[in-house]
Amino acid sequence: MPLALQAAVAAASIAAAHVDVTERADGFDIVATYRYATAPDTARFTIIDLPGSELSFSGPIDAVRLGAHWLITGGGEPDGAVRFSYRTAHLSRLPLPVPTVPAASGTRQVLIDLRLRPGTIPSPESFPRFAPSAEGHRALLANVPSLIQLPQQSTPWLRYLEAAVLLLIALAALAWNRLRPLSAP
Amino acid sequence: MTATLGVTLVAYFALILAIAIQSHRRTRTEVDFVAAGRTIGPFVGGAVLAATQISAGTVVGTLGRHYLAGVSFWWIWLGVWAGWLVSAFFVAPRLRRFGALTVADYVGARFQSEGVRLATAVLIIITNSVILVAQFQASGQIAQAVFGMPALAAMLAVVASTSVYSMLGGVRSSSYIELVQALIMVVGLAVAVPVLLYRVGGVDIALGVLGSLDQRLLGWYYGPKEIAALAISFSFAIAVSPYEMTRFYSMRDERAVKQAIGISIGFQALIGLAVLALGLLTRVLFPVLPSEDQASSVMAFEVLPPVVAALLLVAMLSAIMSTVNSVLLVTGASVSHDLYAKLRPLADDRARIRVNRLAIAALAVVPVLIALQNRGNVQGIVVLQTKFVASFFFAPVVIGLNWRGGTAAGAVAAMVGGFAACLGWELTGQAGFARHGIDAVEVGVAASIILFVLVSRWTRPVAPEHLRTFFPEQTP
Repeated sequence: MPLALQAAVAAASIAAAHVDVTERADGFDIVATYRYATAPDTARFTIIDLPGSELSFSGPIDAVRLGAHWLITGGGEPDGAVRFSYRTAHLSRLPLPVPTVPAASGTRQVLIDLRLRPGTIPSPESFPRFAPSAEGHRALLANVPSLIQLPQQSTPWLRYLEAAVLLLIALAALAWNRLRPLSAP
Repeated sequence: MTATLGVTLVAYFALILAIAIQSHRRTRTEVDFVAAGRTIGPFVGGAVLAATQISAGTVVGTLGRHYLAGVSFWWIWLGVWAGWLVSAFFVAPRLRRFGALTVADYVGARFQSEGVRLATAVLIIITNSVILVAQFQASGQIAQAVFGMPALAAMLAVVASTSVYSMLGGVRSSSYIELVQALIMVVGLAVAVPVLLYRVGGVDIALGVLGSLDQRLLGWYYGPKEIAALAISFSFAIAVSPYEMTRFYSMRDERAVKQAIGISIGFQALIGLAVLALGLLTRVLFPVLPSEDQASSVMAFEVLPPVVAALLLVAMLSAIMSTVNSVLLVTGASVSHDLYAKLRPLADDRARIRVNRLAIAALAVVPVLIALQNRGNVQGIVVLQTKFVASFFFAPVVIGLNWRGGTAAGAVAAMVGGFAACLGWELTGQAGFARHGIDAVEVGVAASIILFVLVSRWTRPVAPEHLRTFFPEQTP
């Protein structure tokens, strides 16, 4: 395979990830736990620095700000997991720690639990898609996203977009029916 | 989400099956099957060329390459379009005027040699099998990332469905199906861009994060020499790609061919820009994935609203199927028209179509077995195939169509020498884009051109009365 086309092949991988997000009056508490298939000496994570996020970290980690992201480094616990927490301001986009090694391919082992204030539910346009659970709301993914998006206002344009796409397909089908005879021999 | 995707997939397969059955009813002769009765107009033709060009290499491989390497990979499109322009001005009109059914038809007739025709047919079958490997591997990646299903099941589903519509209606059904596929691809990719931008929070945030993660994502990940080697590979290969050239034969006339190429470049520009944006935005949302080839399917399944996601996944499937379909048709035609018809000259149209259909089914199996071994990434396999096509085919087709001095011996020397030079450069430790400043495609094409000109000078020229068909304006 040509050198320049080789993808970076990760030696380690994430066996499971659990991110717990709890809403407070003035922001969110986030607890992240990552379990490695093969524990590295030093685990590394990236957190994108979204405008106004005002992150404050706690746990056995070092956090260094590098441009528009944070680099988090920390050692693993005896059970092979790396666990730390942080707080963010009250925003519609919350940054999540992304490990520098990928999640194991072909499995959906990335859990995000979301506990909003009583009486509130995530908007249907949230990213990722949350479903009700015993803990509140839960999303299950194959890979760790860099952020979760919790729109504070309804964003109907996403639904309009879907309706527009369906309309476009219907119009294309009609146009196809009208134009096809013109190109026939 | 899964229900929406299921309904969309069922609707899509029902639509292409309906088109295939309708085309089957209108397919009676070999010209109907292999060249759609030469009735395709510029708009349908342009969409067909774009859909054939936009393969898994684009929606999976190129999007994944932008995810991994950022903006600089976009420059290879200039090479792709340069290849199309060479084709529009120097290849396509002459091929269409000649009116052959397969590329080997033209090469064999131009050089007045059955040996050249045979070499062409064999090399086309080999290189087409390589491009099929990339398509099947991409379908496996999508199936694994989206459904968690085994790669083999996905590959067999693609082979089965594509073979059915290829075998039913030949080029006529595939042309109309590819129009539908091109439109789905453009709509699906274009609609996904604003959704991802909304998720990320805007262009400024996206650019800030990308530049912070790796400055090369917004600058030069690949150096100018590497980009040049990639662009040359695509440019030379597109200009003479057998499965694209075969599409020219199905078009109404030379004017329709030129207009179709222009329309095709328009489709490709839209798709290329969307793929660039989606690759970069997916990197912001999912900075670390097991393979860059999964970027497109992860983006569609995890980020987009259900209908748009289903549409985009169908678009990816369409891209794979349209290319598999084109390659199977060309390869099947190489077997039935260029090999079987020469062995059995008295075989009628029905027998040839039957052999063509059997060849399509048989030739789909071997690439599946190779794809299961997952050798290299999708874009890497596509690039490797383009290097070989350019190395063995550029000189005999482009120079052969425009220089009357080319001989059969020159064409054979160019094909075999170009192929061997490219292979030798790849296998003897020189593999890689410009590691030593010179890439295998540059060596292969240069060797092929030099051999074509030199050997043609020293061997018996093709009879002038024979060349009148190809160079009416230059023949006294």
